[in-house]
Amino acid sequence: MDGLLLVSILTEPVSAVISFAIGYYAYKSFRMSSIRRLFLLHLGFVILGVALLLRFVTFSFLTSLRFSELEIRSLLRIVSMGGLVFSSLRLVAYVLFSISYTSPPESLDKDEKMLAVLPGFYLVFFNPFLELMSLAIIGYVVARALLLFIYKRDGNSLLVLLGFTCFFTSHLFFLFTTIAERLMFLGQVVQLFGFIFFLIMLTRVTRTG
Amino acid sequence: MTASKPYRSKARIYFDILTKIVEEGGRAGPTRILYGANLSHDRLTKHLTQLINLGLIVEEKEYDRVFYIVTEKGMNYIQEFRRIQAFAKAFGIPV
Repeated sequence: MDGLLLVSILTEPVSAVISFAIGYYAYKSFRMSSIRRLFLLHLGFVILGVALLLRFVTFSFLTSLRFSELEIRSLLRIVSMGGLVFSSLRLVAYVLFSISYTSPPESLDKDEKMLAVLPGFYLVFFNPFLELMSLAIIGYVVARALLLFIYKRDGNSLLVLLGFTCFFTSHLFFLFTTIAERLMFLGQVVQLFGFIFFLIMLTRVTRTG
Repeated sequence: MTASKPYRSKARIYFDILTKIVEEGGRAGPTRILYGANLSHDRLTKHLTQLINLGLIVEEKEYDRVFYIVTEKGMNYIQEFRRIQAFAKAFGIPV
């Protein structure tokens, strides 16, 4: 399998785990404070984690089945549907993030033939229209995070801003994946960096006190 | 028109009370807490009872005076609250 594709796929579970960790901490914070916006943040990161994990599990499962190229093509419709579910879940997560920012206070032989079509197969997960919608919503979240950082000048706010900016940039790459497949790999890596920024923020926060 | 008071969550009020007691050297009377935590007498009494029930503070009587002492659980609460405050602040969420 193409090395870039493999790296792209492997970024998913790592990103999902980080997303779940942030979601867990947001829930912990919600339990303590009963602030609804923290619950929305929790839901957003958990849904994002589920979406990333679903794509990883689905793609790994399909890869392990070792279908022929013809069989894979016949599954294209199902995978398209899976991609739609994935993108929709991610959209829901972004909507929740934006709400949490706006509410008032209170993730050749037979085998070789199969592997050759995998990158194209993987691309089906990306729906340009939903990517565009994701881009718009996450763009709004980035703008809010930027305003917050300008106002607060706080290290953790900067890390959140960098995290969401990476998500935004990754969607820009995903949007143009149909033009150059390599952009998908770049998008996945940038997305992973976004999650790493969130992880650093979480580590800093848990050391407070 | 009067400016409305910013909303304070119950967790925030508990944190303010506990912090005030710690600032007073880990032991404080109700009057000190009253002014420090910016609460009415009735609300303070209610919150102090809840804090005792949660094991975050203990009541100590000395002659006719009452003092409140922050327990280890209370100290952990302060620390945990600071963490969630820093987390929420990073997302622009006031706690």
